[in-house]
Formats: sequence, structure tokens, C-alpha cells
Amino acid sequence: MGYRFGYVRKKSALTLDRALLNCAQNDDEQSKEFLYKNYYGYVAGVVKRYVKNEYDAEELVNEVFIKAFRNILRFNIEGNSAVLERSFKAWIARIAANLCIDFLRTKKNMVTLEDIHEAEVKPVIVNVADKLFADEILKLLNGLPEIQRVIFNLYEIEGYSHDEIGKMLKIPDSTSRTYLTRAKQRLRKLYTETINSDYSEGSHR
Amino acid sequence: MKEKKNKELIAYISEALREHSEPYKEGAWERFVEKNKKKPKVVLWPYLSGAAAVLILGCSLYLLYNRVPDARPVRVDVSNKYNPEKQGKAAQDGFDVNEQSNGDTAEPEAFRTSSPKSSQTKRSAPDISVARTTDRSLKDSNERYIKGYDVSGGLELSGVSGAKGEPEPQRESIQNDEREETFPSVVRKRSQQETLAYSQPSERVSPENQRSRKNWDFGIVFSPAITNVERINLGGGVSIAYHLSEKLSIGSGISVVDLGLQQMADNLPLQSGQFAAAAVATGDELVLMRSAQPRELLSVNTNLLGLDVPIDLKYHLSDRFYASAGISLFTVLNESRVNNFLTPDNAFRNMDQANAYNLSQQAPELLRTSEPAAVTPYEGNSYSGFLNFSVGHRLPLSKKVGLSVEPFFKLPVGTLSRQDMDLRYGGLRVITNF
Repeated sequence: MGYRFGYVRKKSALTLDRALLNCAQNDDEQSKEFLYKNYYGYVAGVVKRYVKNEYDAEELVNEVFIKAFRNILRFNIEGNSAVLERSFKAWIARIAANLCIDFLRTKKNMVTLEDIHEAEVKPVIVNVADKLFADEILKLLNGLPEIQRVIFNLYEIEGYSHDEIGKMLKIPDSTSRTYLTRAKQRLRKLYTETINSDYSEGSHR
Repeated sequence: MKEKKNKELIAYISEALREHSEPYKEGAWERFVEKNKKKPKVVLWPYLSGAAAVLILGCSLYLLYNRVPDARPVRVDVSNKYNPEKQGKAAQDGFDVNEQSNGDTAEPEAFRTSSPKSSQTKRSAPDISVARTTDRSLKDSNERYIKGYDVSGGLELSGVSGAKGEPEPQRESIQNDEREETFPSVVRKRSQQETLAYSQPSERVSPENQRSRKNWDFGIVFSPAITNVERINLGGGVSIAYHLSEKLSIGSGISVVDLGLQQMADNLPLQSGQFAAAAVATGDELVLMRSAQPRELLSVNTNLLGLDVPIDLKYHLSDRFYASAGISLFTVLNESRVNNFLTPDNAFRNMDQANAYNLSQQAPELLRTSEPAAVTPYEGNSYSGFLNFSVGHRLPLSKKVGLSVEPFFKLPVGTLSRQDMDLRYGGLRVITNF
């Protein structure tokens, strides 16, 4: 009989599929750590598109992972590593988006209706002059009202349709369309203002 | 449809944010773990219900088989409560008290068996025969016994018991002559035994004395066990037992157990070994090639080295046979896990060497491979337990040493029962008692 007092566990390098499998089968802590550390940044990026507050964003990131770990059995672990990576990112981003929407709904920020007259919405083409960094883009996004930011994120970045967004936010899809248009125009306006202010600051120097 | 116009800035933002990833904050995982640290969830109800069941069973059996008439002297006192005026006389002669008051007592047979003088009365006629058949010396010893008890404590208790009162119907039933006619054989039998017992004061052993003779048992345990793996699992340790009564004892101990367990992939979640199975069934290479994962998990073998601390209640059916039930706390000290895979091997092989054709052909072949698993879910996480059931036969080897052979069965409860392995096991426990 071989007692294994001196048995030393050899930890093989974790991959996404193995980590997911271990999480699903054994609720393995190392695999959770692997997933958390590898996808923290991605989830945080998604969450920060919706939530401005740093503290709230971090809380939500953790909630996303808690929910993901709880429901990992529902995730279909299939495909090669690249496909699996994409599908896992999409899955976890969906969880993040849903949680963020729930969070914003509880904060009552979503019902804020911006009083924009149609006359203000000028369909102009704005080209990106310089490279925009993620922080600058997030600043622009933060300039949008909550509802517009959410719809912009859901439609333009997450890829939801207006119909899906309408169901998620419990609004008519026509409202979703309107808010998306307004969000885009507002972003262009904000971007132009930013460029102009930077230009004027530069010329004053 | 997505809006196509004015996409320049929007497209840029979308693309930039879609792949955007925030930097990892140092210590985020640690904070996450700390915040979501679950307290070890010990499910108590299986233990409590098990313990309660064992306790109820034990008490029931104890009460059922151990009706020792220890309260016999008290019955003498009960007689005093209905005749407080006789108490003074009782102090002088307890038999007179019994004689005159047995019609008022709930259990007059007790007086009759213990009071020789009750034979003088008409109502206690059956006792006459008993008294006549007993030796005079026995009668004297009975007298001494009862007198002594009356003087020492009987009067003190009489007031208390008298306050409670006795139900009238019982008294009436006792006065019924028909019932009295049924007494003689029983009374004779009991009185003979009792008078014999009381006739030898030096041998009078109270239950307390009996217990104090040998309250503790120590033993060395050796327990081979069988699990769902074809191997003998060995375990061993020490045991200790405390005798609560002649029939009942409570035992504990500590044992080291080595368990080999196996779980087939069919019973494991998220295991779809259908590709390999289909390949075997059909011989279709495409099926094999379709398999996204080249290996299919067939089964998982695990070896647990655990520490088992049982608490069992043992009921002695006879001098040699006993049954026991209880719970045990189980901690996994070490775990090693091996995954068994079925791996498709598409290597070229010779199909017909005998005919010297040497036809090389790619054919599906499945190889069984094993490799140690990276995860050991039991180790460090398991603190749950088992429900223990066993029956045993004790063989006395000498006055002090005995050997017990005890088939046992263990049923996992709490955390262990929800794991992927089937941890039920049983075996034979051999205990050397001292």
C-alpha cells in the first residue's frame, strides 16, 4: 500500500479550457484564480463602459466573476482555444453587461431622460484626427447620459439589436434607436469640443 | 440594421473599446477571495438527525430491556404517604406499615414481595406462600433491609410523595380480588429471586457499582475495507468506549484510512466521451477527427488518506453480540488523483503481416492513458463525515483481552456526499479490546 505522505502535487500549466473544466467539475480554486487574473482586465473594461464610479466598477467586476463561477456549468466548453477564448469573452461580457444594467437600474439613473431637441442633433461626419486612447474614449462616453451610454455600448460594442436592447431595458425599440442616434451625435459633439479646446489651448501657448 | 453613416468616429470608438482591457490591479484576486471567503459550510442537520436517531434508539432499547426495579425501597415510602399517622409505627416496624397500607399503594406486589409480615393479612394471601417457602434467614435479611431503609429515608420521602397523590383507579384495581389471584406465580418467582438477592448483602451490587467495575474499554482497530475499486483499502487506529450501562456504551477513537475510489466519466459532469465511444462503435475515422479534444476522460481514480474520528453508540444485544450506529468526522490528509483517458492514435500500423502484404493503413486505434490530475478537490476541503453502521461479535480471549469482529458500512454525509466520487464503503473491523 502506497501511502502518499510525501506526495507533491505537480501543477501543470493551466489553459482556458482546462481551467473552465476544473472550475465546472471541481470548483477548483486555482482555476478560478487563473480565470480571474486573465480576464479581470477585460471584464473591468466592459464594466467601466457602463459605470463611472471606480468603486462601483470594482464591485461589479467581482460580482461578474462570482456569477460566472456559479454558472460555469452553463457555459459550453467547445472549440479550439481561439474560438473558446472568443466565446468565453462574449459570455462573460454578457454577464457583465446584464449586471451593470441591473446596477444602473437600481440606482435609478436609467430613467433620466435627456431633453435634447431634434434640432440639436446634427448629422455631421467627424473623422478621428489623432489616435484616441481608451481613457479618452471612456471620458467621451462618460459625457453621455446613462441611458444613451448603455444603449451605445449594447448596440455598438456588445452587438445587441434594438429589439434585444428594448427587452433588456424595457423600452420600445424605437426609443432605443432614438437614444442611439442621440448618443452618437453627442459623442461627435463632445469629441469636436475636445479637439477644439485642445487646439485653442495649444494656440494660446 | 446598424446605421452605416457617420461611422468614422463611432467605428473607431467601437473597435477601440471592443478589445479594450483594463490593467490588472494588484491584489484584486486576493481581495476577491477575502471578500467571498465562505465560512466552511458544515451541514449540521444530517449529523444532528443521525445523533438524535441513535440516541432515541439507544434510549428506547435501554428502557425496553433494562427495567431494573431499582425503585423498590421507594415503594415502601410511598405506602407511608397514605398513612401519615402510621409513620411513627413504620419507624418501629416497616412491615406493619406495608401490611396496613398496601391497599392504598399503586404497586402492592412490591410490598408483598419485600414484606414477610404482609402474609398475616387476608388481602396479601399470595405472599403467605412465599413467606412460608422462604428460609427464615432470608426473611430476616429482608426485614433488616426494609427496616433499615425505612428508618434512614422512608419518612423523609413520604411527605413529598404523599403530596403528589396516587390515582384512585389504580388503588381500586389493586383491591380487586381477581387481580390478586393472578399474582401468586409471578410474585413467587420474583420474590424468590429478590429475596435471594437481598439475602446476600455482600453480593448486592447496585447499578453504580456494576458500572464502576469496568466503565472504559480501549482497543486497537484494524479495518480492511472495500470500495468501488478492486483493491483492499487498509485502515487502523485506536478506539475507546465508555459503558453507559450494561447494554449501552458510547465509543470514539481515531483511525487513519486509506481509500481508493473510482468514478466513471459517465457520472462526471461535463464529460462527453461520445466521440471516442462512437469511434469504437463505428470505426469511423471522421468521428475521431471531429473530436475537438483529442483525449476523452474515461474515469478518475483517487486515493484518499484520511483521518476518521467516530462517535458511535453501541447496543449490546447479548454478551457477545452488539450493534452500533453513529457518525464520524472525516478529514482528508492527502489526495492523489489520476485521470484515465482514451486517446485516439492514428499511427500507421501493419494490417496483415502474416501474409507479408505489409499493408500500411491508417486505422483508428484507441489507447488508454493515465496521468495525475492537477486538482485534488478533497484535500484540504473535506471536513465532513460519515454515518456509521456496524454489527459486531466479541470473542473473549482472556479475562481482560477480547477480540471483536465487526462488519461495518459507512455512508458519506455533508460535503463529501456531494463530491464527484462515491465514497460509500464498507469492510470488516477487527478490534482488540483491553
